[in-house]
Amino acid sequence: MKIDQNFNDLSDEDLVKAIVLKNDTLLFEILYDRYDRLVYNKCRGFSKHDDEAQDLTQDIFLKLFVKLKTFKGKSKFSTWLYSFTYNHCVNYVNRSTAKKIEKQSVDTDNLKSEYYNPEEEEESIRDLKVDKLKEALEKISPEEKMILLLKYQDSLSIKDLTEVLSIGESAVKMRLKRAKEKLVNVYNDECHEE
Amino acid sequence: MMNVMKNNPFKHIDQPLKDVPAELKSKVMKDIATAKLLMDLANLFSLNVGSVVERTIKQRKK
Repeated sequence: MKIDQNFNDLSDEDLVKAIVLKNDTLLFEILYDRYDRLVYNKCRGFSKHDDEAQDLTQDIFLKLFVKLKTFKGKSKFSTWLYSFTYNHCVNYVNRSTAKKIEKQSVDTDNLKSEYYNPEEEEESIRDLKVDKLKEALEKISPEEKMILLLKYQDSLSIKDLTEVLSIGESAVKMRLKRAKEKLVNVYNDECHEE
Repeated sequence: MMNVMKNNPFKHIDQPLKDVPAELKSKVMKDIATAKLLMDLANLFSLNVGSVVERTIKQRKK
């Protein structure tokens, strides 16, 4: 019992190291208990039914166990897990709807930081109503939804985003700007339809 | 510097958080146990080139 207590006190990052060392399933259970609610609720945001969210959560934790060694500690574990979860959900949505993924390649050479104005960004987002926002998020692409949730719901910094998405700072800012513009457009269309 | 946004509507989506169904944990842990078995078996039958090279070099030095 004492050993369990010690492991319970470990930081996420140290716990991950201990799990990876021996593929320890008992320690993985501690990690599951810490993050099951978070992962499950993120999955609910990408699925239509609770059953679907349960299946997604189950798949994510299995994949997490197998891929845990790829966590290199460059960002906080929770940040990495958010991205891991969203990536799985985005792939699932794209696969299940057989949608063609819109290529979002960004020419980073021609981008300048002044395109992104955080103050301006906040103003347009702040006044959105929750229920309409939820509907609008369903209508934009899963990739756009993912970056907006990472930034505004999970409060990742631009630096965190560059790490978890493995793209440059300018590309992150441009993707955020485009996703936000699209969201606000869809949101306004919805309001006008009423 | 990240500004803290007041009244951020994103924070209120899907609130309150829903509890995870209790039966999910046993399903996940069953999956994990199977995965561990397969990973251990794979390790048993695969060659870790890195450690072989390392051991060979060590022995060569003696």
